[in-house]
Amino acid sequence: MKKHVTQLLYEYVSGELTDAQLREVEEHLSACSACVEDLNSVRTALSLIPRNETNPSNRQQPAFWTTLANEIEARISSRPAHSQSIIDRIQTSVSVFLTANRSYLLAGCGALAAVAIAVALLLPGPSRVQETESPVLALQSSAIVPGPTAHLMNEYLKKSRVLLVGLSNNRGQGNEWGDLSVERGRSRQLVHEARLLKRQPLDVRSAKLIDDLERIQIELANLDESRAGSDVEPIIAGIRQENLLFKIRMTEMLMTTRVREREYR
Amino acid sequence: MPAADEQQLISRAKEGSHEAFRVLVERHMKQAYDVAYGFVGNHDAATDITQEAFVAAHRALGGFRGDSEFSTWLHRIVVNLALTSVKRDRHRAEREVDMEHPAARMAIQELPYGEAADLREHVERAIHELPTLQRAVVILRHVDGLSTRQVSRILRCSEGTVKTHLYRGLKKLKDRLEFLRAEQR
Repeated sequence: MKKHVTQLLYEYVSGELTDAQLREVEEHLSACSACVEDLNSVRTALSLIPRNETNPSNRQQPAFWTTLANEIEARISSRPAHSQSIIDRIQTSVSVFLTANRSYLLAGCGALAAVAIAVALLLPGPSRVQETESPVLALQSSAIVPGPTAHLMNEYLKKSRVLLVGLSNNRGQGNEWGDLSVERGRSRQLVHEARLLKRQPLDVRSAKLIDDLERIQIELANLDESRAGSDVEPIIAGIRQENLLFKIRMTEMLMTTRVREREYR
Repeated sequence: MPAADEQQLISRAKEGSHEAFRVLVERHMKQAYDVAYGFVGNHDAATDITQEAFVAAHRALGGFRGDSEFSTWLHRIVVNLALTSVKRDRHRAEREVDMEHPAARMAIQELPYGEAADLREHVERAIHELPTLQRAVVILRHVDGLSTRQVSRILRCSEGTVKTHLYRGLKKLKDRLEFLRAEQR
């Protein structure tokens, strides 16, 4: 028997073989059960993959696309080329490099790494918060969370607090859980905000708090309505165990102080 | 090579026209989102990647020479960002999540693919478990419906390499589906 034709099976299924290759494959398949089995695997997998009509973009409302286009336009408009940060410029260079000259990638990576190490050694590093530092001291240091980030953080914390308090009060008189669709919707939105916030410069404790909240919000966003009761209990227990509401209030208080201090300066 | 009207939009966008770039965004954002979604498997991350891809494309537009379609060039940016995102999330999950934390345990159990209740979810989960390149070619070719040639241009490899990865990916996908089905029984 000639050697297996596995390398041609995908092209055979998708009808891309030449006549000569087609004859060769069919002749081999008539005598090789292993290749027939492989062929069936490929056909089965292909028949199961969701097609274009189930594209995820079809699940979104027209308003979503308008909002997305507006957000992209706003970001582009607010960033004229001459005000790009060093990180932006590096990102742009890398994008262009990756999309244009992959053949130089290896040589470029070496040079880039050398430049990055040199820059890291020459520039003063950001203020670092020691793990042993108290949360109050960490949050009061103006070098750690810049004013605009503190404002965004405050908004995010406020919404998260409202969500968690609302969740705790959701139970009806019979101790059963009510409709949680609003909480799920808000959680989805907050996960998005958390991800945006995590791109900002944050101190270790704020980043940890956002991570904890984001995790809870992911759980809530993915709640199965039919089993909401049994699924919410462990989430509530996690919130209590981590003392999240207390941490939110403490951080909110300190962030508000920081924002006001900045306004009075 | 982009079509004439698209070439004109690109030229105007290069000269600084936000209106022209907006038209390009509206024309390509759904497919960019689908490509991103194929890799990351959730709406928020796909939205972030789509947004980042267009912002990066706007920054890098000056370097777009028009040798390929604008969509091919854009998809390459999307794929790069999506692969970075997937790697980062995987590393973060491995390094940072305390598995004993009750919230973490819940998150792992309850993420969208945690309870694959129907075939579609099984398939999506199995695709996401494929090795990076196999996942990329299967998603681009069979979920997003791009041609083998387009996929080879996006991933900058030969069509033969794409087909080899497709064959291996599809075979692995079928084996993985059988495993997931058996696991559910």
